[in-house]
Amino acid sequence: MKTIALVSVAGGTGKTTITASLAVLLARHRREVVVIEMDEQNMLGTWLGLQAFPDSGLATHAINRDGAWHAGTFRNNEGVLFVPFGTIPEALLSFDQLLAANTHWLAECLNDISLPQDGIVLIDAARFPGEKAMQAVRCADLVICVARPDPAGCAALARQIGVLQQHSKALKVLVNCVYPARQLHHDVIAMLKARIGRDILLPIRIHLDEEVPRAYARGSYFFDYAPHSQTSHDIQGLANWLEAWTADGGRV
Amino acid sequence: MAVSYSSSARYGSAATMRGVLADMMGVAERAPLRTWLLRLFFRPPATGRPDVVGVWLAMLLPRLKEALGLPADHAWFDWPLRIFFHAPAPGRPDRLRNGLIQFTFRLAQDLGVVEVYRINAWLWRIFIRAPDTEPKPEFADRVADRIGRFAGPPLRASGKAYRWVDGKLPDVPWERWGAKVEQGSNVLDRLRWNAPIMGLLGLAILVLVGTAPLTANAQMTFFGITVVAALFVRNLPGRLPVITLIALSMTATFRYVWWRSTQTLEFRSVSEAMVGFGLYAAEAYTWLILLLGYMQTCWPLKRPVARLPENIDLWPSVDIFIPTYNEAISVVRPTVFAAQGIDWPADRLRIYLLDDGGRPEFREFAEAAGITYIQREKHNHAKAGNINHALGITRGEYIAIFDCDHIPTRSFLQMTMGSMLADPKCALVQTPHHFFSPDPFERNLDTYRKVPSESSLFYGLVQDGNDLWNAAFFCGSCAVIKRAPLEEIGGVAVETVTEDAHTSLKLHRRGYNSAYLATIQAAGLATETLAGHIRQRIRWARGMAQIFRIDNPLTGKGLSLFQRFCYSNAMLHFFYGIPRMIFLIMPIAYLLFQLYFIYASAWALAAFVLPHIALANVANSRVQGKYRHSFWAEVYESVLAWYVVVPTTLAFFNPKYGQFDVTSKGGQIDDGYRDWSVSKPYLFLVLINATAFGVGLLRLFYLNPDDTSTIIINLLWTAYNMVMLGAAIAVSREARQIRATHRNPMHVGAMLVLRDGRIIACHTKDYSAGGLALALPDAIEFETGLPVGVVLNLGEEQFYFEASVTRSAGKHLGVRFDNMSMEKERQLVQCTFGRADAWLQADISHKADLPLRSLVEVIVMGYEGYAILISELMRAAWALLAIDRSRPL
Repeated sequence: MKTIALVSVAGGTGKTTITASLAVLLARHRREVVVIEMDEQNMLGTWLGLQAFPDSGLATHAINRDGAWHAGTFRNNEGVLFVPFGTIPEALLSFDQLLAANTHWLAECLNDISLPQDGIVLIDAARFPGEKAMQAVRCADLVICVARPDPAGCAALARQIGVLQQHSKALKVLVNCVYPARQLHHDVIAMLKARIGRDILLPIRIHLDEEVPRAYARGSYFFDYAPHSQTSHDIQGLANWLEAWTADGGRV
Repeated sequence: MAVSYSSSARYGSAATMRGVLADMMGVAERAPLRTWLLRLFFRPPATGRPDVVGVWLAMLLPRLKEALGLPADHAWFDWPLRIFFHAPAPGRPDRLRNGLIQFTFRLAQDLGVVEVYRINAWLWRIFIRAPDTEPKPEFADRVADRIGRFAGPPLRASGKAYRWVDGKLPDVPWERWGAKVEQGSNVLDRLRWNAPIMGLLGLAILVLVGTAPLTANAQMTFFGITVVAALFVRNLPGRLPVITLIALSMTATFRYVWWRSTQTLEFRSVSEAMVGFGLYAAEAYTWLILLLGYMQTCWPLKRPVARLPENIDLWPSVDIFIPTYNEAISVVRPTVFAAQGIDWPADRLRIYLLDDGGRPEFREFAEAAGITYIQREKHNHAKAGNINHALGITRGEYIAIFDCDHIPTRSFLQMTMGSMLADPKCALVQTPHHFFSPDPFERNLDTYRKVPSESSLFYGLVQDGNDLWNAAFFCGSCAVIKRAPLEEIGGVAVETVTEDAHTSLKLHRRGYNSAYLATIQAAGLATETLAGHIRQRIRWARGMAQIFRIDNPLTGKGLSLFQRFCYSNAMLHFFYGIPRMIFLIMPIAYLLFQLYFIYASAWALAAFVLPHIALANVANSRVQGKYRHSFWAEVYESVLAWYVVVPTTLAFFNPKYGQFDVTSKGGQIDDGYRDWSVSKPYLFLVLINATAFGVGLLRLFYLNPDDTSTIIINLLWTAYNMVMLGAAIAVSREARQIRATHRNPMHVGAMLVLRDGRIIACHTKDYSAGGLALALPDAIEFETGLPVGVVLNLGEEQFYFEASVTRSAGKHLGVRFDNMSMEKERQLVQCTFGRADAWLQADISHKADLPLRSLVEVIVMGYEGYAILISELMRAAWALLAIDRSRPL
C-alpha cells in the first residue's frame, strides 16, 4: 500500500480535481483506491460523483466522537472508496486543535486501512503550511505539490519547498493549468526548473482546458467527456506515471 | 509520370487534326490504317493514273494472310502473333492466342482503349492519355505487378519447392556464424603477414580458375552452377555471403576478361581493330571500376558514434561556417536558426555567415539573429577562398561547415565530435548530405521516396566503405574539420573546382585520419532542374579529373595502398562518360557498317559475358540494393554521359581549365516544360540507335539472314540502349514543381489551441517552411482562415505558434503560420528541421531491390520517355498546323 498526498501552497491550483481524477483512473487500472479528504473545502465528493456536499465526514466524527473516522465512507461507481471531510464550519478550529494535540492522528487513521500490496491511498490535503497538510505530508510515501504557473504562487512555493522537502519522504512538484499561448507560463516554468531543480519538477504538465469545468458542470469526468483534450492526455499520463512509480517500489 | 495535357490535345480536337493530315497526305479521312501507312511512304498517284502500289498491296495482303494462317475474323494483334508463332493444329486450343487476348484486354483497360479491335485506337492511346481520366502515377508499378501476376504461379511453385527443401535441411545459425566470421576476421587482421599471404593465395586461385580453358558449352555449365550458387547465397544474412558473391562475380569477370583479352581481339581490318579496341578499352574501364567498387563497398565500416567526455568542460570550441554567395536569404535563414539550436556549450560555439555576395540584407540578418557576419574584399577561389578567408580571422579549435542550404540537426556536434576527440589524429568527420526535396531524376520520373536517389549510394555505402580504409573524404558540407591540420595544409584546397575531396586528400597525405558517420545530421534542397544537376555533376567530374592530373592519388607520398585505390576510384568513376558513350553507339558499328568488333561466335560470347554480367548484377544487388536499385546506375550514367565527356577530357588534359559553378536551389517550376537544349544529345543518340535498329531488322530478314545470332545480340543491345535513352528523355522533361516549399514527414505529438479555450491533443503529419499538417483525433470542421494556435514540443520545452487554418477535411487539418517573429521562426526551425530525430526515418522508406522488377521499371520509364516525346512532337506539329491555318489564304 502506498500513500500519496496532494498538497498545494496556494489556493485554486486544481489539486482536488487532480486527486479525484487520479483516484478514478487508478481504480480503472484495477487498483484498490482510498481517497481521504483532509481539506475543509469538502469539495472532493462532488468531483467523485456526489450530488451534494456530505455533512458528516472524518472531521465531524473526530470532533463529535460519534463514530469511527471512516464511518462516512462512500464507494463511487468506479469503485473508489472515499472518506469526505464533512461540513463543520463552527468546529474547524477544534479539529485543528485535535490534530495539534495528536500529531499522529492521521497516521493512526491510515493504520486502520488494510489494502492489498498494490493499493493506493490518496490524501487531498489542505493548503500548506497547516496542520492538516503537515500530517498528510509526513504520512505520505510521496508528496505531490500542485502549483499554478503564476509568479506569486511559485514564489510562495519556492519559499516553502525547503520545509516540504524536509518533512516528506519523496516530493514532486506538478504544474497545473498551463496555457501554452501565454509566454508567462513558459517563463515561470523555466524559473521553477531553475529554482527547485529538474529532479523535483515533474516533466508532466497539466494544461488548462475549458472542457474541465464544462465536464464538471455536466457531472461527468472530463477525461470521459473530452478524451481528446490535451488535459485528458496529461492526467492519463500522470496516472500512468504514478502507477509505474508504485509498481517500481516507490522509487522516484 | 504525371503529365498534364492542355485541352487542345484531347481526343476531340484530334478529329480536326486528322482531317488536316488527311488533306495533306491525300487520304480519305476514314481510310483504314494501311492506306495511311501506304501514303506515308508513297505519294498518291496523279489523277487519272492507277495507284500501282495500292493495287499491289491489296493483292499481296490476302496472300500474306493465307501464308501466315490468319483466321477470317482476325484482329490486329493476330499479325505479330502469327509472324512469330505457327497456328496450332486444327482442333487444338490456341492457348497462346487466348492468353494474348486476355492480356490485350487488360492493357486496353489500363490505357483506356475503347475500340480494342482497331489498331488506330491503340496507337492513339499509347501516346495520348484518355481524356478525363486521372493520371496514373504508378504505371510502372502496375506493369510490374501484371508481369508479376503472370510470372507468379511458376515463381510460387519454385518458392514452395525451395521452402520444402529448406524445411528438410537442418537449421543453420547463419547469424551466429556471421558474428564468428567477423570476430575471426578481426583476429586474423592482427596477424602480421596475413593480408599479403591471403591476397596472394586469392590471386593464385583467381588466376587458376580464371584461366582454365573451357569450351563454350562447359563454360555455360559453369555459368549455370555459379548463378544457382549465387542465387542461393544471396539470401543469407551477414557479411560472409557478400564476400562470397563478390568472389563468384570476380571469378566470372576474370574468366571473361581472360577470354576477351586472349581470344577475341583479332580483327580483319584497321577500322574493325579501331572499333574493337575502343570497345575493349571501354570494357576494361568497367572491369576496373567494378573491381575498385567491390573493394570499396564490400565491408562498410558502420562506425558507431563515439561518446563525448562526461565532463563538459573538456568539450572543445567549434566555429560553424555557413558560406553563401548568391542564394536567397530565405534559403539561408533556416540554416542559421538550426545552427543556433545545435547542442553545445554556448561559450564554445560561434556561428559565422560567410557572405561572398556582400549583401547588406545578409549583414542585417546576421546582426539581428546574433551571429557574426564575415565579408571579404577579394573574391578569389570561390567557396574555398571564402572559407580560407574566414579561417584567418576566427579561432575555434574545430570548424563545422554547412552549405547555406543544409539545415543541421541539434545533435550534429554531439554525434560527430566524439569521433574527433577519440582519435587525436582525426582531422575530418563527414556526415551524409540528405535532400528533402526530390532531385530532377526523382521529380521527373516520379520515383521520390520509392527508388533510392542517386546520391544515396555514395552517402549510404561508398563513403562508409571508404571509411574502412581510412579514406572517407570531405564533401564540402555537413562535416567537421580540425583547425590545426587544415591550417597545416594551407587551408581548403584551391587548385581544383572540387576543393572538398582535394582537401581531404591533402589531409590524408599528411597522415591524418578521417571518419564517416552514416547518420543524417543535416538536410537540404536538391538541385532544382536537370540542367542544374548536370552543371553540378560536370563540376564534380571536372574537379575530380583535375585532382587526378595535378595531385594523383596513385603517386605521391603519405597514402596507404587502399587509400590510393579508394581515391582513384572516386576520380576514375567520373570518367564514365566516354565508355558509356561507346556502349550507347557501339551496336551501330555492326548494324550499320558491319564491323565485327568482337571476334567470337555469339554462343561463346554469351557463355562468357552472361556470367560476368549476371553475377556482377547479383553481387551488386546484394551489396548496394538498399542504396541503388539494379539498372538505375545505367539510367543515371546514360543521362549524364554526354555532358561529362568533354569537361573530364578537357580537365584531364588541361587541369587549369574551368571555374566554380554555384548550383541554384529552392525555386519553383510553374509549368511542365522540356529543356530542349538538355534533351538534344539524347534525341541524337535515339535517332542513331533507332536507325541501327531498323537496319538491323532489315539485315535479319533480308540482307544477312545467315548472321542471325550476331544480329539478334546487337539488336538486343540497341534495344537496351533505347530503353536507357528513353528514360533519359523522360528525365529531361521537367515535371511541374508545384510546392515552393517541400513537405517533410514528421510524426510527433502536438497541441491545437482553439480560441474557445479547448486544447486538442493531436499529432503532426508533415511540415514545411510555412505550414504544418495535423492529424486530429476526431473529425472536426474548421473554417478556412480561422486563427488557431499550435504547440510543438522540443524535449521538455513547448513552443507556441500562431497559425490559421488553410485546409480542413475531417481529421486532417492544414495550418499556415502567422505573425512569425524572428524568434518564432527560430523556434519553428528548431522544432522541425533541427530535431535530432528529424531524418532518422529518411532512408528507410525505400522498397527492397528486386533486380527483375527494377529492370521492368526502367523499361517502362524508357517507354514513357518515348510516349512523352511523341505526344510533345504531335503537340508541336499541331501548334504549327494551327498557325498555318490561321493565316489568311
